[in-house]
Order: sequence, then C-alpha cells, then structure tokens
Amino acid sequence: MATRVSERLNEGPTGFVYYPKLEIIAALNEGLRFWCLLTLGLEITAGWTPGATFTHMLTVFSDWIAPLRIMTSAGAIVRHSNLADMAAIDPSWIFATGTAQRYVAIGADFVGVYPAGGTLSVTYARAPVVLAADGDVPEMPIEYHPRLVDYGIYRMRQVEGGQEFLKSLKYFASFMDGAEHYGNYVRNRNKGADYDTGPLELKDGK
Amino acid sequence: MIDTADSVADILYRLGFQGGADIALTGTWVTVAELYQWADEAAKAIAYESGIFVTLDATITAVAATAAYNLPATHVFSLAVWLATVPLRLTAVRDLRALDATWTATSGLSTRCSFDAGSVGTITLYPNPTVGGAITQLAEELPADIAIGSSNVQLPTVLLDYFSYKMLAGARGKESDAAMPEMEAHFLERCALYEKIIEHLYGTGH
Repeated sequence: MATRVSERLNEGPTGFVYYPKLEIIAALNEGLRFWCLLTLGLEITAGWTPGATFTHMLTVFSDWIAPLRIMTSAGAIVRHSNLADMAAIDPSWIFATGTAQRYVAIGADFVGVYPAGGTLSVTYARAPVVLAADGDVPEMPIEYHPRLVDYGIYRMRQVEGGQEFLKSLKYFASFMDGAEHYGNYVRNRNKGADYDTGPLELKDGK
Repeated sequence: MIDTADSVADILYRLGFQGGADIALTGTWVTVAELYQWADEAAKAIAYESGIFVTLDATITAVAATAAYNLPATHVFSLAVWLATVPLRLTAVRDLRALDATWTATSGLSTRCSFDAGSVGTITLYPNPTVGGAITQLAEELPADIAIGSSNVQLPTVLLDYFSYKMLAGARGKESDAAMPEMEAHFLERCALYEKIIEHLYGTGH
C-alpha cells in the first residue's frame, strides 16, 4: 500500500525518494486510526472482572475507544445508564457490591459498574493494529483500501503546503466520503445489535 | 495510552525536519519544547471542553466542624460527591439560603455541598459536618502537564493525531519564516473535527 501511495505521488520509477517509505507508512497508520475513530468499525469482545466500581478501561484494554455493550458472563445485559439514573436508583451506588446490572461510561475510558462485581463480557470499539511494513493489510474492509491510499497522498502533501497541498484535498474528501459511507453502515448495524454507542454522523464527509 | 512523543516524531517530516537531531540544532524556527507546549495546551483545553479526563478523587478528608476545603489543583468539575458513603447534593448558595436563612451556622450530618460558597477552588459542606470522613468526588480533572520526559496522556491511541495536528497548527501558525497560515487553518479544522468526535463519544464539558 505504501508503494501505491508512492507511485501516485509520481515516484514510481525511482522508488521512495522525496516521500520516504517510513513517512508513508506513518501516514497510512494515521489514516487508519482516524478511520477507526470516525467509523468505530473495529470491535472486540473480551472478558473483564472489575476489581472496583470504577475502572480506567485503558489499563485493562490498551486498544480501547468506546464501550458498545457489556453483558454478564450469563449473558444478561448490563444496562448503559447515566449518572442521574444511578443516583435515582441508589444514591450511594458507588459503594454497592454484587453482580453488575448497570454501567456508566464517563470521559474517555472511565467505566463504573453497579453493583461492582461479577465476571463481565465487554464489547468495545477498538483501535487498529499498527501497520509496520509495506505488505501489511489495514484492518478495514477491502473496498475502502483505496480511500486509505487517498489519505496517504493527502497527508504526504501536507509538508508542501500552498497550491500543492490544495491539489490533495480531493483525496481527503474521498477518504471522508468513504468514512461517512462505512460509518453509516456501522451505525445502522450497531442500532440493530442494540449497542450503546455509534459513530459520529457525518454529512457530505464533514 | 497516548505518548505525545510519538506525535513529535510523526510531524517532524511535515515541518521540514529530517529527524530529531535536525530540530534539536540551535536556532531552529521551532523547538521540541514548543511542540509539547501546544500538546499540553490542547490537553488542558479538552479537559474543560469535553470533560474527557474523569477520575474518582478521594484526596480530601473532611473533619468535624470544618465546612470548607480546598479542591485539588487539577479539579475541573465535580459530577457527584459523597462524604463517607452519604451522597451530597450539589447546591448553589442561593438555594442554600432559601433552604436555611442561617445556613452558615447550621451544624449536623452533611447532605449538600456547594462550589460557590467559598472562594474559587473550594468545596463547602452543608450543614457544617459534625462527623468527618473522606470526600469522594467523581470529578473531571486536568491531565498531568505534557512536556519533554512526561509525554503520556491517558487517552485512546486513536486520538494521538489530535495532538499531532495541534502541534502542527501551532508550529505553522507561529511567526517565523516557516509560517504557513493556510496550513494552520487546515490543521485547526482537523482539530475541530477531532473535538466533534470527542464530544460525541465522551461528552461535553461543564
């Protein structure tokens, strides 16, 4: 994929010269991270035993982005709630122990369960695996791979600025159109799955 | 967990430097220390704008007959407060006065707290407590300062590039021969998009 970006930056015959391979791979990684943040298109389910009411989820799952669903090990839904709900149910809810029935997600990674305890199954939107080599395959549907190439071109031209950069904005627009398209799919899918979080709604790639 | 040192490494090429040794030369138009300053300012700003850094703070211990306490220096906003295991309702002074005309002289088991009764950065308990205990706050806080040697931020890795674009915007907007106002504007637009996503996923600030 890095070679493809390089070729489209007109470095085909000579290979990587003005646009170094490592920089192109870094650009593709940036695009992939942004894609996952925009679409929440990668998810994973993992076991989790909360040791207290509150947990910084990044200390448990380093690839955490946002919670999608939490269930007990028996398969019962742990309901997503807000702080007002929790206070109404039990004003001292943070001190309760038992088997989790509800959870709150506050800030980037702070999750509280009520009552604290039990073995849970957490489905969350995750960050992608880092691309390290030209042949690594990005974790996004294959039909959108050209959009990542577009992002790579756009980012490589940021160094130049001015009109050279303006010419690359169409590639960024293409990437955003792809993210909007796939994000809509993920959002509808998440609604169908009764997930608690969906991706940001983009309109015309903005 | 983000290491903003990765952001620095990621943007050197886009700022026209050949690497870490190049930007470390004496008299460069931008320094690594400045790049970290822009990242630090960005982290502080989103702490207020989106309340993204949330934690359970129990650093204050109330004692009998003392109503007012200094909040931690990193405090931004308290979402919920408990004294020992008793929930405290967040109450403005006008409401305390309506509730109890001589509220400052009332003693008993505290059931409310106010953030505008004392000076900025203090919490005041009502009634003046006759029994002390830990003040537990579910609170939005400022992250630790970002600088050379302390570059980690407790945020999902997909937000790394938010800090990269803040650094790029700062550098290209800085008064210098390498200033690129058109690129600064674009980088700030990119940051604004990240902030929209942050608000969507992690909530707005207070």
